[in-house]
Amino acid sequence: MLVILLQLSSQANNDDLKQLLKSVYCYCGCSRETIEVCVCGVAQEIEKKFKQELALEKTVDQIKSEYLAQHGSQFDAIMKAEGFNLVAYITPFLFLVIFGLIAVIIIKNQRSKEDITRPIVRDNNFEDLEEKIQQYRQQR
Amino acid sequence: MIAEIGQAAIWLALFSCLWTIVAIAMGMRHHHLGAIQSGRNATMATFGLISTATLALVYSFIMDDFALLYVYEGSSLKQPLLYKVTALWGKMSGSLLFWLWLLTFFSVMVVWQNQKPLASTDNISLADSALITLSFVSFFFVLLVTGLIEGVRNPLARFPWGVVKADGLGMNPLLQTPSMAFHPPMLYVGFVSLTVPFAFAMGALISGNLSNLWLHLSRRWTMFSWIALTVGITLGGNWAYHELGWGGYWAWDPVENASFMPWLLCSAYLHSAMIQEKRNMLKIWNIVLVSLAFGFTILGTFITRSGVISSVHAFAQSQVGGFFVIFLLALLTGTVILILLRRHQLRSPNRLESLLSRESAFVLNNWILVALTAMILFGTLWPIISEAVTQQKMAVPEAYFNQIVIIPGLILLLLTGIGPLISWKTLTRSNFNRVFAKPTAISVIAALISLVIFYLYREPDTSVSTIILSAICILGAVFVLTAILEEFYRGGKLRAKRNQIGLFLGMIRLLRHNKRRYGGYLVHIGIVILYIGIMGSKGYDRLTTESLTPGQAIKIRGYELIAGEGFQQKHANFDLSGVNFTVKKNGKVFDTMKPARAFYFTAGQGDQDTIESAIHHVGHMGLNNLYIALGPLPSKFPNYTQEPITVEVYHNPLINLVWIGVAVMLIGGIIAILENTIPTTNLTPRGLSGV
Repeated sequence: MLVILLQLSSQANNDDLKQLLKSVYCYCGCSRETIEVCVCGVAQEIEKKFKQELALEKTVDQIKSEYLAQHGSQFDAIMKAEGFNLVAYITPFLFLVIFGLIAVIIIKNQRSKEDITRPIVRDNNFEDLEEKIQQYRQQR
Repeated sequence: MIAEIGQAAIWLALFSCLWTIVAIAMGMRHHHLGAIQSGRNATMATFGLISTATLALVYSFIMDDFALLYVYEGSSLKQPLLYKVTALWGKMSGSLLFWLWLLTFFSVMVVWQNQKPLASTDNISLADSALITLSFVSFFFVLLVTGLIEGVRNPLARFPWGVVKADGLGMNPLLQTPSMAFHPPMLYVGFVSLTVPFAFAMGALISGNLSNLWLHLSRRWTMFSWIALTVGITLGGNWAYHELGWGGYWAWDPVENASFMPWLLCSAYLHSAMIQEKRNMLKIWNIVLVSLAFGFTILGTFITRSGVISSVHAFAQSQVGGFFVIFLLALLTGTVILILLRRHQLRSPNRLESLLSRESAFVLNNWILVALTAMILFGTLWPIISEAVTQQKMAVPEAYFNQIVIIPGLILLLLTGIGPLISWKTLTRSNFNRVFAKPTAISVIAALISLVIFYLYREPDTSVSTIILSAICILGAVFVLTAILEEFYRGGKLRAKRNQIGLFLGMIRLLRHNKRRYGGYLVHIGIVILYIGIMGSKGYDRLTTESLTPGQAIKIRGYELIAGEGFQQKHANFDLSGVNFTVKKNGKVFDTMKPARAFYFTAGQGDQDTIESAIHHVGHMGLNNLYIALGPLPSKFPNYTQEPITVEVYHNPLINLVWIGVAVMLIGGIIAILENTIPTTNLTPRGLSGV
């Protein structure tokens, strides 16, 4: 029973560590690399420190908050869709809609009022014409 | 002495730029051909002067002239010759000088291209009006490199009091790779050459010649920019993949975004320009789009060079940032005023005849590309917006961009297939059914099959959304491929029948006779391949990290990598230390991999090292990658029996399709650029020269 409990606890710690390593950027100067992927010495030290803190039964949120308080909020690798960040998540889709509306307006404005039902000219016809023009040029 | 000659040349260039602007403007106003010729000559002179300054700086690098501040900061005695030359664009002022040199070179190309005897033809006056804009932009960059603007030094400036350093600090080791030698110049070529189509658009507005001539004259330039940007961006991704050790090629870094946004706008313009050529529509929009594409090259440079992204306060501190803003505002104001003045002439005589037409498909394509640009710009600027509002610095993670671009990206993929299927003007219901039925049916079947396969072979941590998005990607990809291949087949068959030749020869002939259209289709096929590569490498990549001692193994997706002996090699300016890995699959050894770290020992970079990742092509047709990056080496290396090494191993499925896709895109682009669409005199059937 004890072995199972220890294994479960170790598994939980591993998952917590993985979560932590993915959630913050390394402050070493590498461009926006999380501790998980950064292969510098600083990242290794941070990982060791996180392991120790998890062993002291600190929570993931606690360790992350302390890290960010020490090094700055710009090292947060997870941008939660809450608070002011919601603006960041919503606005791009607003752009998509707004630009879509503009495209619709352009198409509507550019559209002829008359219902023209001309015969369709396929591009193959254009090719034929083009070839004839080239033949004409060569003859000239 | 050489440096002083270079400095003098920069100062003289300031005047020759002004001379071009004044002479050509006056010449056009008073129809004085001598003044126009003088303006052209001044353009040549500017190129000569800037070439002199650039050569002076390159010479100083080669000769290790550490009396120059810029040479001291970017080079060292032990730096290989290639990197002494590429140090020219290693830092800000040198890169601006290189930018300027390219711009003056392209200006000379514009003069040379239109070097017919001076006459009052449209062609001549348009190219000359374009020179006014080109010289105006050149003037801005010359002003930057004179050293007058705080924040940018003259690249040829000496240390004060005649100080001469014994050795230089050396180039950043990360930049000392062959791909970094070519990646920045290719991007610059792409950025700078976009000035030419913009200059032609402005030239059309200034001269009042608002026929489609400016489009024809600038089409090859735009294609050239697009090709150069594609190469530049890809080389950057390739460099990141090999050198940064995080197993990826694109992270939505502000610098990457700065290069990607003009590419998107350039792609949008290439499509919308066709509407104007074929249907004489969207005249204002095309001018706006080409101006935006150019403006984004300047905006990108401003974003990355001013430090504005790192902190909102850097904006106020950096004078160079303010200078860029003034320049951008001047360009914006000038463009808007010129468009307003010419708005009556810019009205399109033609109308859209149907919503189901190629014109509409291209407008929708423009919608997605421009919206994507706005979305990426917003995400890139989010740290500034956020800091201004919440007073907290923020970083925008890669995942955010991946989330926001995925939907427009998939719509764009579908449009890539729809565009070529629809004919110009209108499409009837029967034709719609005939053209769309086959690609739609095949792609839906392929998507359903892939959905089942992705679901059955999923890994425990694969999300349902990844599976669904992958199936949609397959749907779009198969749709585009079927549509385009059908077009190739149909056209090829027609040619074969007419010329009594085989189908393959018919297809080749089709490509030869309509390079622009079928080259464009090849680009679309390349995009499909790229999408599949992105889907595999971003959606299904896997990372495993372990600390290993010799003999221990790391396992990833059926592969076993066994750590072997450590090794050390000496090179001219760095030491290489790494580990031999034996790669096994199903118990059989099939290769070795040698990840390493390079330690540079130049004066200024003594303790810096770079990651030399090992990449091995595996899987079906070698499309997947096994990728190893080493962590810091232990103190007693190459002995690491007591102190293990951290090893990161990635399995990146289908990643090679990313590079293959880009290669196909480039082949298509090169084929498309070969077609000359400048109409010859009395060649009336406009637009018949291809899509």
